[in-house]
Amino acid sequence: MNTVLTLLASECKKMLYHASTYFITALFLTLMGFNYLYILFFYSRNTMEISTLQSFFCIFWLPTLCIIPLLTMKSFAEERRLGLLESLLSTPVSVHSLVIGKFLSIYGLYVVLWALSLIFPYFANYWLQQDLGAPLVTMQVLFGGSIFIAITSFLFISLGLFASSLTKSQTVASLLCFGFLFTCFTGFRTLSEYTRFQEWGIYVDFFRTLEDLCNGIFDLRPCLFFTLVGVLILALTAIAVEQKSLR
Amino acid sequence: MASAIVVRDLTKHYGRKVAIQKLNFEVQPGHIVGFLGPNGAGKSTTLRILCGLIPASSGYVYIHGLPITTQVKQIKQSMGYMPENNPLPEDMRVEEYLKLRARIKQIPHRLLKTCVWDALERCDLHRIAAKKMIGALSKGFKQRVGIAEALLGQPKVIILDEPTIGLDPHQILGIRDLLKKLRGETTVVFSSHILPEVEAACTHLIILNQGQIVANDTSENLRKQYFRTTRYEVTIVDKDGHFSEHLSHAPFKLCLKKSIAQGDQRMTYTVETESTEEWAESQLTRWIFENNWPLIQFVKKEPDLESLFLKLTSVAWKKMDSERL
Repeated sequence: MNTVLTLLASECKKMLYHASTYFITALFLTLMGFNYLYILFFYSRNTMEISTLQSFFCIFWLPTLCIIPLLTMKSFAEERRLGLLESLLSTPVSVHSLVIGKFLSIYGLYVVLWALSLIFPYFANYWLQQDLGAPLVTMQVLFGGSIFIAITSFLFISLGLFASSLTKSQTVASLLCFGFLFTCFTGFRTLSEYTRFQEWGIYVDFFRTLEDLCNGIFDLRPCLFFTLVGVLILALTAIAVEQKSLR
Repeated sequence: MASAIVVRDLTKHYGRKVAIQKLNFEVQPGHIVGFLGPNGAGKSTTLRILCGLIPASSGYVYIHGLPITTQVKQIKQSMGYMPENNPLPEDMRVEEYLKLRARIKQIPHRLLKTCVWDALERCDLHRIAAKKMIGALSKGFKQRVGIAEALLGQPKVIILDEPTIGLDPHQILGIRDLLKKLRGETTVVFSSHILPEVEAACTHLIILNQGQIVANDTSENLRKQYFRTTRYEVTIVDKDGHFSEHLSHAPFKLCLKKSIAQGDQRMTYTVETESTEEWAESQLTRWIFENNWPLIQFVKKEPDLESLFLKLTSVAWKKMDSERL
């Protein structure tokens, strides 16, 4: 446990000092800011059934596909290329601690980015509430959406780390991660809509899960599914790191 | 005394390629052992197996009595390793990096500062380099940081893969002094291509070629074993130039290898005796004095490690070639 905390602290410090973190933060906030602005414009001209905040959470796929590959591509690929991974594994650190340390640091940053992006709906709510006569941010949607982001990010970041553990090149890692995430979105969607597994496939539909959570329905099955797949992928990442280092 | 490192029948395959084959050797505590061998001989593979980074295909490794297959975590705790090319994070300060590695090596918090400072001092990094960014350091200082990292927590065994690669002679001398300081207190195994360097720092040599040990002894013993003759460089005043003729009348077999005229009737002769014993030297000097040749200089020419290395590796190559044919 101590080793995990040491590695986590080291990773967080590394992120804090690295310019790329600030670039990714700026990119994420710009992306989300413009998206929210677009949602507000769209809602001012159209009547929609769901709230602006729910729509804001509904575009989770965009930052997932753009930001997660950028956040995770460096983690193992770059360290392996530089030989730092070999040096680290010659110490009593277990591969699992290493994977958990890296995962928690990236997960923490991604959650913080989402938390920061909630400034947009919050300010919009603050300025527009009186004119609209109804709040733009409701606690139910805020909690539901946040839980959704927390659970699905677990799975997405695991996929990113797995992609990074397979190669020495950051570019290849980011492309692999993008491919995995895209397959994940389209695969689960196809599974839930078009196949004969439709009955249980609906539980792995991201959009349906988000809708349920925002409506106050907490179905444990999809949440458990996403978390378990995330854990499984992290275990695969540990195996990949170990096997690649053993060569 | 129990050996610090025991290796028995160690073999490693990479697919169909055999990297090392049935290696057997022991390293005593406090000894500094040099691993020599041409590129692809299996030095790095052996060192990586010794520190638990990669598993062997077969065979056993015991570090201070602990088998590496089952006790790898305990072994890693009592071992320092510097990989080839010494990878270091460029964007960290030296002291900060060593503190992080000390924490990762599970050195107790109360000893952390002392341990880091001790490693910095031993590697002469405590004066200027400690607060500098690793990326801003020279190659020599970076190597020192790598060695300091390996020294953290006073490990019983230190493994250094090519610690002197790419260094200038001054920096090599610094690393050599550092290794000498460790002699007697820590077991050090290191690989190098710089032969005089290995000879100067090591108590023992292991020469690998094509994944097999071709020699394993002290450099002195290896010389005795592989060089059956001794060369002397004798500078005398030889007025008539009869020295070479008189060689056949010497009481023991002497063979003239080279003669160089130095001017003023002074000649330098390189002669070879078939004996490596000390008495040959005294007999030769006595014979020179008995024949009234004014002796100016008498130098025993030790065969250097390079000749030994080339001899051993070429013997192994020839043997392997003949086996293939």
